[in-house]
Amino acid sequence: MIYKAELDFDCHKSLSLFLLKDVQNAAEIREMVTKGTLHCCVIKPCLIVHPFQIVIAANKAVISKMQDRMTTRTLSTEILYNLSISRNITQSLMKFGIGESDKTMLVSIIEEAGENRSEIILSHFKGVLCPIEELCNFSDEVLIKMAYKIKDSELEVSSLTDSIITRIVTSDFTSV
Amino acid sequence: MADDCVKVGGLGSNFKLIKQGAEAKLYKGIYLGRPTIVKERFKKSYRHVDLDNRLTKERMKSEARAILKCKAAGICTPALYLVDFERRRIYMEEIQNSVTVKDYVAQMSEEAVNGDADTGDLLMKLNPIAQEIGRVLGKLHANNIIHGDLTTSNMLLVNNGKDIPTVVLIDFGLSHVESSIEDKGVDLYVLERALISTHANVDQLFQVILSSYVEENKKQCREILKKLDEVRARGRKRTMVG
Repeated sequence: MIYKAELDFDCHKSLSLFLLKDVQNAAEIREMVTKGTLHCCVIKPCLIVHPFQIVIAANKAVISKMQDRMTTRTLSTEILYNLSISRNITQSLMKFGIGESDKTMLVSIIEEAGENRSEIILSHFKGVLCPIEELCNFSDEVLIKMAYKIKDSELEVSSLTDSIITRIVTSDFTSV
Repeated sequence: MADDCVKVGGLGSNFKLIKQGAEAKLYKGIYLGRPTIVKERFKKSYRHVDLDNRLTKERMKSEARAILKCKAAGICTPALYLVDFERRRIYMEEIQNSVTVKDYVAQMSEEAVNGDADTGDLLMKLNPIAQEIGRVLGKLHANNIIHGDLTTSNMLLVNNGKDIPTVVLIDFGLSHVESSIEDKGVDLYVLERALISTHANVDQLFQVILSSYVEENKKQCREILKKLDEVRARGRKRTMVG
């Protein structure tokens, strides 16, 4: 049900991921996250192929925060921005963040070691929690390959996840 | 020694130093739950700090760019997990169940000697791998990627269940994107020298590599081979006289 990963050692933080469907209050959630009253990052699942994709983007975000070099203002927007290979902030947030009428969403929560805020955060979502393994039912490979500019010839030598994460960690100084 | 321990500590206690080169230290461990190699470029105290930082950053960028560009071109390279300029580290996938071409050739040579096989048998055995290496390098240069340090230690073989193992290129620390014939010629020359010095018994393999290289990089191959002859005559570095 739960996906949890320890992030970079120097940051002492972990990432938990939850897949929710039939969410009724996307607009409300979006507002709370934007206002900063709900501390989590809510991601559109159709562009996510594997939880590790978010781990890599979140890890990059917590390190940028630690080194005081975030591109956006909050950890939550930084994760969305990192997921995208575009350097345009608005476009990235639109692309990977949820829309007002979305029903399915990935909630990622970053916690300090020992902290447990997941339950409180999840209580705000009016939806059904489902196993993270079901993510594959919502990801759209065609869309993903387009978003990350990945051709089939590349997938002969690399998994889709590996191709994506390599792009995520190099997006500041490369263009594909 | 004390210095080492501090740095390993910064990486998490599960990391171990596995190699030290002239530019960087390599560590192996688990990062974000995956087997990982960390390449940390150390500070050069004899260089001005600003220049050193700038050079390191630029080199890390070209290394990461080359790895990505290779993937996009259909060449197997490790996946990247983090590029951290401040800590001067690149975190990348550790290629599991792999052997360097260098070790593989050495192992096969030894087996051949013990089994009383002649060089011809050994060459036959290594032939498909040399062909695959040639194909990969042809693709590399056709996409204007210069590796900069093509040795048999920087090529890994991974068993993929098929007849011919996958060739994975590693260590792009000296690589850059460049279309010049000169750089491609030198790249091949470096490999030829490496083969002659580390695998003198099977240095004919270079011809096998070249012939499949030519197949994969048809457009420029004639010029590159001509350049290779030129480089052979003068050495890797261009003489700058007058």
